[in-house]
Amino acid sequence: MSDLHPYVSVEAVTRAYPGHTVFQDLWFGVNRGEFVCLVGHSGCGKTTVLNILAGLDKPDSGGVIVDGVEISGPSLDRAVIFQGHALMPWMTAEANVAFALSCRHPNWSKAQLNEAARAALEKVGLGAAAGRKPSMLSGGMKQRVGIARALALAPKMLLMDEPFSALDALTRGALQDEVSRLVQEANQTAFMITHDVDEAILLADRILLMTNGPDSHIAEVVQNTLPRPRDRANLHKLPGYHPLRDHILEFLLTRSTALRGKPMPGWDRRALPVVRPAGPSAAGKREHAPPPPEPDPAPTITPPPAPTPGPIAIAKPKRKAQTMNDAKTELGHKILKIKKKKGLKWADIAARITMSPVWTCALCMGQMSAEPQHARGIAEILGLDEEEEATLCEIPYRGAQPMPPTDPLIYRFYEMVLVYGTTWKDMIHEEFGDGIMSAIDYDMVLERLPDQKGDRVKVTMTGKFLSYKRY
Amino acid sequence: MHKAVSTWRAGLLALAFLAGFLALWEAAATRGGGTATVDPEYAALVGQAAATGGQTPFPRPGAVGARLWELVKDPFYVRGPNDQGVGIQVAYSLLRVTAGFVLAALVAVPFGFLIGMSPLLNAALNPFIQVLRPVSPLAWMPLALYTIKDSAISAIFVIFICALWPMLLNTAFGVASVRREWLNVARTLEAGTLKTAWRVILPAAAPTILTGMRISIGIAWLVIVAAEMLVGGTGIGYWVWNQWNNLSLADIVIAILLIGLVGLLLDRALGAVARLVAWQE
Repeated sequence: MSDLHPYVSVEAVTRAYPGHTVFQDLWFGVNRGEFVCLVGHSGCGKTTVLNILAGLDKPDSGGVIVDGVEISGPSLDRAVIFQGHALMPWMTAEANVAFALSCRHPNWSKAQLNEAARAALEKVGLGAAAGRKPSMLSGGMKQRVGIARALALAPKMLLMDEPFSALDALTRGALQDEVSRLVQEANQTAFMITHDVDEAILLADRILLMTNGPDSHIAEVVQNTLPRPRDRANLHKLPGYHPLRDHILEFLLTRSTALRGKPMPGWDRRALPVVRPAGPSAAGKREHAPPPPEPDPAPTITPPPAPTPGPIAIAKPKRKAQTMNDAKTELGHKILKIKKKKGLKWADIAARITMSPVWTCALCMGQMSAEPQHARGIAEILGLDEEEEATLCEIPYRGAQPMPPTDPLIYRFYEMVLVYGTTWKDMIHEEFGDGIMSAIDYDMVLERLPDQKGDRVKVTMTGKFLSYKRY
Repeated sequence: MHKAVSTWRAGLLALAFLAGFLALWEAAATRGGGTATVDPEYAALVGQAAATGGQTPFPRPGAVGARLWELVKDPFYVRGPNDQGVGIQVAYSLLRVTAGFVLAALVAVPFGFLIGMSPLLNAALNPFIQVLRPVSPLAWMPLALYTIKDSAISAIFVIFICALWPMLLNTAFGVASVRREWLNVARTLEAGTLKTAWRVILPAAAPTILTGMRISIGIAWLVIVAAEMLVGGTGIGYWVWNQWNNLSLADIVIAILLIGLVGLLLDRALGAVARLVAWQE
């Protein structure tokens, strides 16, 4: 919890260019041994925050105090893991780490440096690749070297600038687990900026939510009360995971824009509101209630509201769905058909329930649990029955999905193209606008089917769904 | 897109081109050049060709080949200042080029570093560089001769001037375009200025600097021939001029061939060095 004097303290920091204020009067702290994530959209100034912490950028006013001393520039005590690994390509992996160590320990002998560098590389599982140059390493291995280089310095604080964003989903996951382990082992104070919600949930003790820029501010602090140790495989099974994830997602999708330049009433920049969507772990309470739509406080099934018979009810004899995922998948399937029949677009449904098209799509396709009022809106516009409306509110149990495809929505796209022969151009551009590209921040392979008529394309998607980059 | 070409076929075609060229040359050289009878004493005095009023016949490939063999057999003889082996001439030229080039590198690399690291210096010096760079190095020759008063050193100075600019500009460019993130790494590691320059900037800019050096050595080798024609004394350029005065066209053909080959070797040598310092991401 935040005591009076945090280990790292950002105080009244303002950064502005002529005619463009990145942020002003920013206050937050990081406690010793704590892992803090800063989450926000691109362009909100989160990299600037990190650069100021690193000493690479200077604030126009205000200051940063680390361990009781105000920082005046870059320091070995604040090691940075850069977004694009930033290894020197003319040095081997070992030489890269040894170079960093030679700055930390100027009077070590060459042999000492190399030995320590090798030990650091072995810690990240790269002992065998120590003699290779970065061009001979994969993206994940390069970033591992970057991590080894930073940790070898035994810094007071580890700063990470979206360190995994350039990696593929599998590698990213493995590295997240690795960083989680290493940081825990060393009880390392760490600050990371990211736009990957799951990454923040996996790693952070506290998550700072930053609004869009210019003139952005930290809207609230999300206390991550999920128990440690966490690992990616079981993260979504932890009680409280879904409300936590939904809360952050919802912030990124709607409130990050809505709150730009106009903070919530009662918001105090020096005592940021703290929320615990995953439930209280200690004697925690919600200082400020976040504005609606508020996510479910607990992953329980929301009772269905009063029935509203729709205008067109496509009543087909329903097979009994085996699991909640099947039910949601089946419903998504049906919604697609109704939608096509009625000539609706996601944007139309989204307008009805005042949500973004991507978000709406995710709700309808069984990716997310809907709020009752949203489920109602969707049911009304599409003419769904009561049971189906309730299904929309159910929380999908993502762990039960077979691999691949891991995600119902991705499965749906895959199926839409393969089964219905929808053209991918229509599907992606007309249905979803650019949002779908933003929604899928992962690998998507479009493959033309040679023997079909028209431009039918097989869409293969791997990775997770719903990231918040807008292109 | 180029398909992979077999070395064999390319080699054969190149040989065919060479044969075709030699045949054309032979044919062209055979035409014209009949002989008339003149007073043998007059002919002995002014030379057979001049005496008949005709031109010196252009040497045939065979004649050039024979002369080449003669020169290659004994490239390093010295029979007085005006008759030295072709190997010695090439060695003189190489010596001048090397001296001028090394001096230019010693000046250009440190200055390029400064210009590349300081946008202010870059802006201040750029007009001078842009004006001086396109000047033919030979235009400096009279000034050099006047001030230095030594033709041998003047030739080296001309080489120095022409080799300077590409190295200077490339070094400045290479240093200025070192990735921001590598510099940031150096800054967060609190590496000192010298350490950063030596361990980060120099290796990062080395490929660009080497490219500049490669351009420089090419230009220097082009210029040395002309410079030596002016300065005289020794060197392959002087030798060409001397053979022109002797009307020994076969020697000139051989000199051209030799200049080309040495230029190729110089370029290859620097190319090999460039590969040593090259890095890829």
